[in-house]
Amino acid sequence: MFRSFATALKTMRRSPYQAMVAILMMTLSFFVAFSFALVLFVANRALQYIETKPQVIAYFDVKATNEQVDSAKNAMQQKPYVAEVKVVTKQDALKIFQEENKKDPLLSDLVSADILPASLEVSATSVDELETISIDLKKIDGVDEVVYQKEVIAKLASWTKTIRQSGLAVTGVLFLITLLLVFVILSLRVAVKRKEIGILNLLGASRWYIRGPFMIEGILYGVIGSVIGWVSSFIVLLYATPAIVGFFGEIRVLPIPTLTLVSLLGGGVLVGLFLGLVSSYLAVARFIRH
Amino acid sequence: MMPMVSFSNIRKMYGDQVIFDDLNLTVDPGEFVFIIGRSGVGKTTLMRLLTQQVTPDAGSIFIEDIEVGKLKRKDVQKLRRMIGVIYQDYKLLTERTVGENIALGLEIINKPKEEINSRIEDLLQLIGLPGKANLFPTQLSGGEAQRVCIARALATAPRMLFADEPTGNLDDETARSIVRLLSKINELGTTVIMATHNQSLVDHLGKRVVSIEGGKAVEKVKKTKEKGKGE
Repeated sequence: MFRSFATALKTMRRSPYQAMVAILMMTLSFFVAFSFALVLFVANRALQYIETKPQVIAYFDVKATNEQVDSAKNAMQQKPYVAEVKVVTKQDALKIFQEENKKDPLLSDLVSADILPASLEVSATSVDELETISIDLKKIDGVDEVVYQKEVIAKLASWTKTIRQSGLAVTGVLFLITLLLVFVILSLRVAVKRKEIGILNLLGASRWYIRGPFMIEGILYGVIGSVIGWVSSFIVLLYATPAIVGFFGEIRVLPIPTLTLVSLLGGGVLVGLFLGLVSSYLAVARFIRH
Repeated sequence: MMPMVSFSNIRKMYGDQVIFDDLNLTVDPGEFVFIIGRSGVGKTTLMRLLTQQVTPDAGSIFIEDIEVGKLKRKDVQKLRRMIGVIYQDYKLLTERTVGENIALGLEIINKPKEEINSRIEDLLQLIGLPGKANLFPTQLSGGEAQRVCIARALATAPRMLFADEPTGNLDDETARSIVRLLSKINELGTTVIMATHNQSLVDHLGKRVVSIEGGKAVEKVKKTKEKGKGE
């Protein structure tokens, strides 16, 4: 193991430009992957924030009793797809009205709680359940009108899905490209050392003895590339923080928790290790077979 | 006494071309045998059969009591460590120093660094190239490179050396010095099989000579010196 490590380092030192290209390409791939992961994280935070906002509002008839409203609240809370139910009583509605019209005291004086309807504000566990919640609310006795911005929410749901699916697809394609890239680079390295591999074979070297340095080299490319990629994307995130915060306003998408960042680094290092291992194994296996 | 190597009823073809047809050859421990024959008769194939780079179409090969054809891949590696092979084109790694080239076989069997360094010094003395451990193969003459190849083959103290046309790229004087070196190694107890097409090298040493003719091993003369005495 130590010999393989030392040989890999010696090879990298003796041909620094090849090593530099391999590490740079790996870094670039990981930089894109980490950046995408961070964008996805921020987008997810924003979506979670929006999803927790009241999404369906049911207005009761002005004649509806408090018992009817409480019974409706209890009924909705039982539903597994309902995240939160909030009651806005006639008095709460009046307070909101007065707050919104405090610059016009005459208008506020004209309106009393009796003419304002009580309402239920319902949040769903998923935006896909909004239609079901809307139907449930309409069936409740005393409910006059159910309001939710169907098109906005449908678009939001569609965006959520698109971001998640395209994220998976882009990440998948990216790692496939990275795998092939490292495979090609290491194949070139192995091809250059074909004579050496042949001689080692004739001298009775074990497979690990021959493969070891190449595999360690591949792992080093992967691990170093992922660490530099992570550091680069973190620096870019720090640089872009004021712009991101300004863009999202009241939605707190930053800071990203330390645990998330450390997990990203750990995951990246593991992926880099795996990519280096698999690609170098495949690259060397081809030549050993021949 | 158990032979060091025995080829029994070997048949080997490359496509339609018959290389060996019922070849039989036995080499005893400690022997020095010249394998002669014109280019393309199968001298290198003999070495490849021995190291399991190729397998015979029929027949069996034994190295001491080990049947080469029945070895598993892992054991083939061990077998190759038992045989020192010397090549016409030296097969030295140009990006490694002389010392590092000689050390290859020892590193493969995980010898400690100190032992490797001491062995390199001893071998460089034996081949007459002391103090050249840090040179690269490109800085050596053909004869020196071949000596390094011999040292590399000897590093793991193999019981047998197979020299495949070791003098093919060398001038007569250097070639003779290489053969003298192999003779010296043989006198120290290592079995040596040397393939060559250079009849003049064979004549003056008085060793056993086997010629490959028509796919068979033909015993030419037991000892060339004895022949000379007899005449």
